[in-house]
Amino acid sequence: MAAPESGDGNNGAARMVTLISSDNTRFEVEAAAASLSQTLQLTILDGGGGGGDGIPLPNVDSATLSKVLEYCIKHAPAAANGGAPNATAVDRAELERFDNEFVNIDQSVLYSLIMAAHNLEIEGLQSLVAKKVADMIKGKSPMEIRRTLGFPDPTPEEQAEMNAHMLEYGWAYE
Amino acid sequence: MAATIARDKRRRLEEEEEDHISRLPDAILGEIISLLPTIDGASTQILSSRWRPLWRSAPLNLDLHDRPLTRKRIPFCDISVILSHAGPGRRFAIPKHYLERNENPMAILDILLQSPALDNLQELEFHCGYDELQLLPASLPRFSSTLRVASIGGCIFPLDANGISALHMPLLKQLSLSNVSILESSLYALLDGCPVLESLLLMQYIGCTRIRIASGTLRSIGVVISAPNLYILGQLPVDNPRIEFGTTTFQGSHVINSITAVNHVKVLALTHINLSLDVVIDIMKCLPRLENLYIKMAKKCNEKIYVKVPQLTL
Repeated sequence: MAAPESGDGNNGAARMVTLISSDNTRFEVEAAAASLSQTLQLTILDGGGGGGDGIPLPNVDSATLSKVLEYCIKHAPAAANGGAPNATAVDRAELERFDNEFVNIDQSVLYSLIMAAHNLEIEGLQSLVAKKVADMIKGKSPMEIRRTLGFPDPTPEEQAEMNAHMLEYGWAYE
Repeated sequence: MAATIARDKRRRLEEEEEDHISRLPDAILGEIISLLPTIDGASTQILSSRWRPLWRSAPLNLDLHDRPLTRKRIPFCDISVILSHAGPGRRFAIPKHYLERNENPMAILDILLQSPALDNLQELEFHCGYDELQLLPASLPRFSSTLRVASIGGCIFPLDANGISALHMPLLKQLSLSNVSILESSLYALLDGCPVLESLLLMQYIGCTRIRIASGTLRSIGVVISAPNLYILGQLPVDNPRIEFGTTTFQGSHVINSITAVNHVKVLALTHINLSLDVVIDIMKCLPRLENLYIKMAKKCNEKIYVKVPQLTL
């Protein structure tokens, strides 16, 4: 087991940890990036995940983990600066551009990402994906939201119930 | 009945296969809903029986400022959604354009305020419009023990000061009155009932000609007088106001009398038609702790500008 290094590897090569997805793919990543996960942080501080050990993540598949780590690697430097008070406007704009593009994804991927962000407790990613879904809902009629979020077509009974509620809540028919 | 259960089962299976976002745990969906503007959040109840209880289980934050009037939605009618919320209420804000269009705005407001969804309300903001002042809603006292922020507009306060003293608001920290009619004695009774008030804003028409306020808690005020902790003096809503700070008296922007300096005021805003450098210097002499000074030159009419400031540089 690797001994914990001081300064998170700022002096010399950065300390690396290995994460193992549910389908047994190994990801080697800088400890600083993986530590964005509150869930992993303590294990990593204890020196876990180094050498041949690896930290198993039975709830996260490799496609999702690779996406999660893409986020962590991008955000780790800013997080290391204590929430980026030193970051320049250019850095912040670049992160924002990255975030917007990052969540421009298929809904099934977004779903897995939301679940992973909560399992791993990555705060920034949690709010990013929640905001993305909120933006998908905002300003839409109930039928539009159902279509957007991929609800199955309502049965005639459900449709009648929805119509009654829409009337009650003051929605005009489209 | 059996057919319904079978159908529900089939539908659940379909949802599991196709409906990704809807499969998220309730806690995460609730978090997403709490990010939505009020009406959008309330509308999620219509989506399905699974989504129906989610919005209702979060504290109600009904702020209609964020609700655009679109042709898709019938104005005002959808506010009835609040009647279906289980409460407690955190904030209720209803802007002027909602109420003033109605024949009897106060009756509508009163019905809404009586809704159990607003029990234990902490922040209340409403304005009944400029056209015709409305008597203060009768249901207001039911929030008096929980309100922390109140903004009241377009209202007549009861003429009887006893009616006001029913409004004892032990937690109220911010009070804003805009375009209201209130007797001087009633205003004092109101302020007496707010022992921890820190911010008072009096805007537009306030139905009294003279106001004297004595307060040990106020930190910010929009019309002043003897408030020892005062540090922001906002724009005064009257012409040529007479203001007394202890032994120092201002009439309009002129210093009438100054024996001791006013040490607490750090921020001062002056909007005046005939502002001269001498006047500004006189005022500044009385306010040695002044940190920020804002000056706005007002136009008296479109054609002519009556500003006399010989190269004011500060």
